[in-house]
Amino acid sequence: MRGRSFQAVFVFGLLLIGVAYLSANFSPRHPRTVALDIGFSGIRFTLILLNLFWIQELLAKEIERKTILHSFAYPLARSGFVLGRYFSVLALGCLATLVLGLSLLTAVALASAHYSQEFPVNLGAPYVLTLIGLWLDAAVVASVALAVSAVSTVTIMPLAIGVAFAIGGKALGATIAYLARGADGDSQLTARFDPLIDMVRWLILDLSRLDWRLWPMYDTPIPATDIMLPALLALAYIALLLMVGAYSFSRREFS
Amino acid sequence: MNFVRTTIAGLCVVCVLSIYVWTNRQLAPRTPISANPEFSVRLPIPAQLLLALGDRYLAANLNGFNVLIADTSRMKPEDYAIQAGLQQDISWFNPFHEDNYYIAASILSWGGQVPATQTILRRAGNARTFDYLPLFHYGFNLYHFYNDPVRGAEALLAATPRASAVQDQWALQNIAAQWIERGYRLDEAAYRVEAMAKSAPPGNFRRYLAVRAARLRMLEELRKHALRYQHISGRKLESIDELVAAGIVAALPQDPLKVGFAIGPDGMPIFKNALRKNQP
Repeated sequence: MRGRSFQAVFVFGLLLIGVAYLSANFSPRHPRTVALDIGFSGIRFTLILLNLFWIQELLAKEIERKTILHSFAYPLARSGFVLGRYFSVLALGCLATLVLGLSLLTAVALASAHYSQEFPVNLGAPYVLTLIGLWLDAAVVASVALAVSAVSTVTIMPLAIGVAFAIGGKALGATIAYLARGADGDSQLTARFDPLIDMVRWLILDLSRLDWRLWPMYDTPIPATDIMLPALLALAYIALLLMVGAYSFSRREFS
Repeated sequence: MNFVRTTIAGLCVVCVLSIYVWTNRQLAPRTPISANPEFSVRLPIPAQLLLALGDRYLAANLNGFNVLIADTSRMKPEDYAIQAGLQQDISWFNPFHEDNYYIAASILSWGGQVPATQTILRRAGNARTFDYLPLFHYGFNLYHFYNDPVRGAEALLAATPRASAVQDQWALQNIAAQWIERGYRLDEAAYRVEAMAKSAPPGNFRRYLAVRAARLRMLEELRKHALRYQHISGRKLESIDELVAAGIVAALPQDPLKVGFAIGPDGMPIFKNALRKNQP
């Protein structure tokens, strides 16, 4: 926790919520919805960066500095060490989600106080649910970064692959939908990428399925299966990656 | 040797510097290619997605801000075309976006981009099942721009249960009834308005719809009499009163909406206000 990078990211997250508050002014009909929308995007981005920096700090840098060897001196299995680090990142993520979530709540409540929009946002349980989805999204990205740092000899690799995964996984759902529609009538493009996308679907988790913001933003309930199944899939994906990470970490030779 | 090196290096610097100065001076008076368009580019959807870090809602909002700050008074037809593209992209990223369909309905369709507007409104109508306005605008455009009152009325009737205020429901049904009268064959229109009256809650509005249906039936009757008149006299009606003079009807029916009946160019009875609209 000595690193300043995550503090900077956290301040950046709060700034993004400030941006969300200001963005309400760019909407004539539903300012609070837009503030909420931008805020969710900001929170997701911040949580992912925080998780990646924490994995970087708690695992990758310890390997680089060889301070990890001290930890191995304790009578504890290496897999236990890795899992402990991961779950502490999750707990920190939980705390960050809470703080950012409360800040966004305040920002949305304050945004355009003199205009009551026709279809108000729902800041109750659906809001909390959406935050949990974002937290889970970031947890998946953290597990990817953890698995990478277990095998990688380059310190920056977990961060780089984590960011690429976060963007790719988030874009996956929309890209599949785009290609399914026929890519604006470009059938060649569809034909060229379809098998590839189908394969990618098995490797990269479709993170957009963990995004339930339509419920708080437009007060349209999301079917329970569209919440439970993606959540279950994400948990299974995390478990798989943790197993791979713990296994390769136990077999790794630190010299 | 050292002197040669320095000279070559010096020449290179002079050469590059002169190229820099020359191109800069050449470019200064030229207007940049993208000067002044309200919208410069519309990227393909995957590229927009990538720029928004994979987040489709963020992509929708970024486009939304772009559309919102455009100055319509400075927009040219090609700008409307790009705005139509941008707004269709927004409605694809997030069909729920309220500003997007609202701006499309109020700006795009009047800028000549009706098909794009209809796409945006259709998507918004499908997504926002709690909001009657997208379907209302969709129906209005069918009526106004496509001259299709029948499908316009269908959209309005689909929008009706979404309106939370009873007055709005009545207003939508009222407009739908009038469009049905214009779009359908008379007997069919009467039948449809009667059906609407039956499904309306008891009260003034139901009676109003029943009155509209009744006067359609009156007109239908008058047209049958007009055909009989033609059959008997061998010529077309020129005035509605000729029906009474010829003894076909004892008296003309009283239009409950006080508009009254007249004879159209084809010698068939019509509502008086329809005659006024047909005249140049």
